[in-house]
Amino acid sequence: METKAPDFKRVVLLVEDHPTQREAIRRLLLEKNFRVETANDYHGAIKVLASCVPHLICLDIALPRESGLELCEYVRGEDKLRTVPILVISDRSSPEDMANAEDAGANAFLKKPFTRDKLLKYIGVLLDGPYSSRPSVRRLRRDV
Amino acid sequence: MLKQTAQSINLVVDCLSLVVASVVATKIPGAYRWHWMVLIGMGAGSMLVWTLGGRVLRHYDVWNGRGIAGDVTLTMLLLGAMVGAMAVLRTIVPPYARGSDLETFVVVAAPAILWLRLTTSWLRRREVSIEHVVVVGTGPLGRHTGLEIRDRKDHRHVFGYLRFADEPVHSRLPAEVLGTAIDLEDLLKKHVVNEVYLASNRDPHRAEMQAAIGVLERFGIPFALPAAGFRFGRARPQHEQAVADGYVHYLSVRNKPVQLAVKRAFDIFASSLALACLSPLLVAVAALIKLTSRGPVLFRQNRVGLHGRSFHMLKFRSMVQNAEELKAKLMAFNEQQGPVFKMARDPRITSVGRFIRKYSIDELPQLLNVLRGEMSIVGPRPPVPSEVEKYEAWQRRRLSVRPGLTCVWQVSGRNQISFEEWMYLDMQYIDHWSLAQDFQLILKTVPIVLTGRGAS
Repeated sequence: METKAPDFKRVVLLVEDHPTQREAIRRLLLEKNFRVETANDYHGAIKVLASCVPHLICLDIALPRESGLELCEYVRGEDKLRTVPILVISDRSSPEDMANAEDAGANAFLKKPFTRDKLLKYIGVLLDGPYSSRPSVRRLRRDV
Repeated sequence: MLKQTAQSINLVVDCLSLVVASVVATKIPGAYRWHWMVLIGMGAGSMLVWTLGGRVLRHYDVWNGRGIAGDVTLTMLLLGAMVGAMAVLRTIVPPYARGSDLETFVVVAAPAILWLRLTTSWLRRREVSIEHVVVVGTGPLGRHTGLEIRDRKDHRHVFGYLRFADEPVHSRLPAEVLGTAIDLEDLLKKHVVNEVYLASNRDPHRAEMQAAIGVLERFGIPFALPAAGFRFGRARPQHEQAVADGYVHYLSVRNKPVQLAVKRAFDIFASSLALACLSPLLVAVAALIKLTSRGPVLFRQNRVGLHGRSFHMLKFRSMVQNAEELKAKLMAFNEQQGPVFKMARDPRITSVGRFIRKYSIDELPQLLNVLRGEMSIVGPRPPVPSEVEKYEAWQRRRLSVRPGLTCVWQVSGRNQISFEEWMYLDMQYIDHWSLAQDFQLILKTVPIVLTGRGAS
């Protein structure tokens, strides 16, 4: 990832119910000097969001109870969270799935399985790309 | 549908080459002779392994998204599995198979199948961007649909978008917006469109989508509807293959991929056989035309083929060279109702022309069109572009199947029916198409052509 080393640690909220995958992504992000908050479902994520505003939310659509898209909608409905970029991860990627994610407020869509490089590239674009500076990001980038 | 057909043909061709390879392997001088029972057993066994393996590895899937390297690897893998199975067979039935020669088989079969496989996939790839797709809907779903089609890199091409009346146009669409959903009918009349995606799952668009479906059914154009229509995260369709790209695809002609593949295989086989058998006649007629009047031997006429794509239909020239210009002057004497021109004693026809037209010899070069895949042996006659412009919407459905040399109209008494009736007959043919009917029509055509009955 070609980013200027920030002088503070940026916070990523990672919502993923699968422990192995969550741990793998968490390690990768820690390695890249992010501070990582994790949650394994909708309610866990809301608890985290009550106390901090992350720079990026990275979430899996298929969560045990409420789906990731509902979390997207919650985030977009909260004033202080509205501009936080959301990266959605899913193993289903039909045009309809992507459109639904975009409608729910996601900014990027990453299909499972993905490589480390791809994840970092997506995160990089969301944090430092053209979308980070916009006050209201409602557009999904698929071809980052 | 066409790609499904292409893949079925691939399967048939691969199996045939396996058979040929095994026969060759046993017949070449110096090779061991296989007992005939082993030959049949091995043939059946290998075919079974090939078909099952091909199914498991999705060798014949429509959207396999593989390149040449993938094709080669898979083919070799399948061939390996097959040879393995044959080796097992050989150990099971040793008394019959003592002399069977797997090495020769592999040496013959591998290059044959690979070569066929590569030429067919090369042929498929060569036809870049020939399938035009229109997406109705310019929202997120429309955009992702277009991007998905573009990124899939098979030879589909997003021709353009139509937007719903209340819809804003999404920036960064992969193709131009050509109008609103109401313009669909005009668009289909003017352009070749192979499939239309109705990209919306929202209530306000239902009425417009319903209207569009009506138009598409009348035109006989395939269309696709979003498979889910609702939002969900975890559930998956039970038959995932049916909605592989997230859409349910509909056809207005009956989907008989196997029969269609057989039809195409028959077309290729019969037209090449007929061309070979008739070559002395063809050469003689060509010489006769060249000697008796000025101008080229073949007459290339622009006709409208499958889904409205135009092609050059070949005929032996039976008229004087400037016939098309004279047609305008003779329009007053037209004897056929509707947008077609027919006249009993057309003064433009040459003397040789009259003879070859009586026995339909002038149509024989169309066997080349059949071989090239632009036509079929049985199918509605391909119309000229000016006819198509005058078609009503429902009549355009004639273009939803591959045009042919002969059809219901040709065997029903030829010119003595009205244009309207003719269209009805063609439509009936399309709606009730079957292989059996095709063969009946071929059998009925032969005596009519040989006696020259009814032809003008």
